[in-house]
Amino acid sequence: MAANQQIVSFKKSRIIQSYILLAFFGFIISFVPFEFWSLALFNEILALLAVPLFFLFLRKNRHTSKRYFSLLSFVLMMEMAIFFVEPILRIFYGSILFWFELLVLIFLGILSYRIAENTAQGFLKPGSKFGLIIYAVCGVIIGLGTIVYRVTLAAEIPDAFPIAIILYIFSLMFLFICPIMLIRPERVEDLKKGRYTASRK
Amino acid sequence: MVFPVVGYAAFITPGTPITPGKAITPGTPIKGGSFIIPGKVYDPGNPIKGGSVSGTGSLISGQPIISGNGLTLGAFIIPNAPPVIGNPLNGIGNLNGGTAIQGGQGPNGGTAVQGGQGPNGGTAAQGGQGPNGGTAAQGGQGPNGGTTAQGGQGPNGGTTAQGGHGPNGWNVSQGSGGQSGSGVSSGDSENPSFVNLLFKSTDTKRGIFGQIIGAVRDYKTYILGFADKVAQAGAAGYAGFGFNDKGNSKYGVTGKNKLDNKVANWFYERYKGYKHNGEETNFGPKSRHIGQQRVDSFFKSKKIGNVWSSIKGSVKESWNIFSKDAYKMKNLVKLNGPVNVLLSSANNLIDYSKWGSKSKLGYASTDFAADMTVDTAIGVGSTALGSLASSALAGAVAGSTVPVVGTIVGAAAGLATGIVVTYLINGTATGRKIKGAIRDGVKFAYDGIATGLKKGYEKAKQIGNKISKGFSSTFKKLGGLFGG
Repeated sequence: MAANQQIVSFKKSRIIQSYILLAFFGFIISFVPFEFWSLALFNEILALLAVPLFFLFLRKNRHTSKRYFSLLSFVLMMEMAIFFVEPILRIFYGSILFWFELLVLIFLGILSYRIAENTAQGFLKPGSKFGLIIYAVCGVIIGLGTIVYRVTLAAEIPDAFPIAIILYIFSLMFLFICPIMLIRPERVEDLKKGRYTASRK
Repeated sequence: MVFPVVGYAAFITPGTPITPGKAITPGTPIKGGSFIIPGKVYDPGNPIKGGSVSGTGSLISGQPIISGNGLTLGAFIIPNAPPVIGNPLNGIGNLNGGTAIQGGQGPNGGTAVQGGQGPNGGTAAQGGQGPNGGTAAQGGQGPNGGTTAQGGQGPNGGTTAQGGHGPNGWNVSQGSGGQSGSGVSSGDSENPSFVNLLFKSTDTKRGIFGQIIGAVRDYKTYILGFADKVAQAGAAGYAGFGFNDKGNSKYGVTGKNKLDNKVANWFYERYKGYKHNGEETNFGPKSRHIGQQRVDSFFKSKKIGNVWSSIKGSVKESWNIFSKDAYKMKNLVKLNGPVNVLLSSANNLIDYSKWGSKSKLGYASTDFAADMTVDTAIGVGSTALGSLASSALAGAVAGSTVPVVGTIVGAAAGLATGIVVTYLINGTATGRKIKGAIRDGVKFAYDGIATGLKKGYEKAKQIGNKISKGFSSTFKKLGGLFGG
């Protein structure tokens, strides 16, 4: 594909911006529900580990921009999903809910990989049945996020619990979406054209 | 005359003289008796056993030494049952507290005009303690939370009408969560209800002006900030709008020209609008083949892609009041620029007004200036950080195989930033300390400037007076020269 043959220079690679984004989230998330410096350090190391991965992707996919940015987005979303799940796990640590949250996370993680192509179709064709469901669910999640943001902004001393809940939902959403970034561009073009049964590379 | 009287006593003849008797000899001294030997010490008897406590709630309570109708705060036996601490899920609210403004009753009786206690909740007009919560008109503490009209603290959270906070009761893992339980001194930290937090228009705390401003804020948050954007993106998604990369920096614009539904089409047309070379334009029916510049302009308008220009654009759009564009009707309708600054400062403007809670300080105070400065700085900072997160993630995903996902994950990242940064500043002890320190620092600086200006003014006034006197005396002298 013509679009895939674009050369990605380091300047356009977004490696620095992506690292700043991860480092920033890793730091601020360690303050919910209260500051935990060891976790902040762990998150910063995790963010730093993404940088060599980005360079590896750039080296391997310098001539296929879509593939490169897809892999970059995958790592970004995965790490952010990990950061976002930390507050709720910290809050429920030591209770049965901790394990429940973890089970839901693992289940959704596995499921999302199995239905990645369907999810991609949903995003590519918003008018389809699955597409409508996906857009509706994402809209509801963003709406909930807006409400929590509003409540957090208005409260004199905001509560950590609803924040942890909405971050957990964001985490599930990211986990659900990120596997579609692993689908190769050629396959996505097939899906766009309705060739659902084409063999995977 | 004496002789006749003597004559009357002539019949008395002198007797024989009395012979002296024997001297009395002293008797034998009394010998000391033997000492009395003390008897046996009596063994103490058995102590009287305490009687049973009256009332049904006798399991956990002490009995007041002084009956509860004393005029001063009575001293009480500390209840036997240790206070239950460590179940933050029960933290909010008063578990067993009673409710009465005056007087108080525990299970073991006791009515107090001032002060009073009961193990399972007591009520008192002033003060009062209860391990499981209590209710007091002024002050009062309870380890498991209590309800007080003014002030009061509870390690596991309590509610107070004016001032007083329980710490974050949701913190299950921590158990005690006693990080932030104060507020007695603040006096104005009433916890608004969830509906008040959700819709500022329902909050009557700041009167009718506060409600009007709250309604405008609600409109900005829910209509402009969420519904409008979602509707635009939804309409564009439904129409299949997008760019088809043809290589060599050439793109094809995909999607329907217009939608059948008029309302949906209105949102679609707005989504297609963008700013190119300083002019507002949009992708019309003939815009099918475009170059890289127009694609870049479109993404820039939607704040996707270039992080730094997105941050700059967002901050300028929301907070810059010095540009000409800020006062254009289009910008004002979106509640950006000066309207946004006004909305963000509304609480301070009301609080420091004649009718507000800080009316004694007023607009001329450095407190007002410090609050305004810090709140505006936080607003600008939050906008910048939210924009950074949103555009960085959306930009990366926009270059991927499924670019449409970028809008959704970008919005989530922006919201997450806003939520966490706000929590970091207001929700954590560290954040509040930093905010307070910055506010105090700014106030200190303003005080210094104000004092300097005042001193400067007085000095200038003194110099002015001296000059004036000098001139006056000079003129007088001059006048004298001319006979004036």
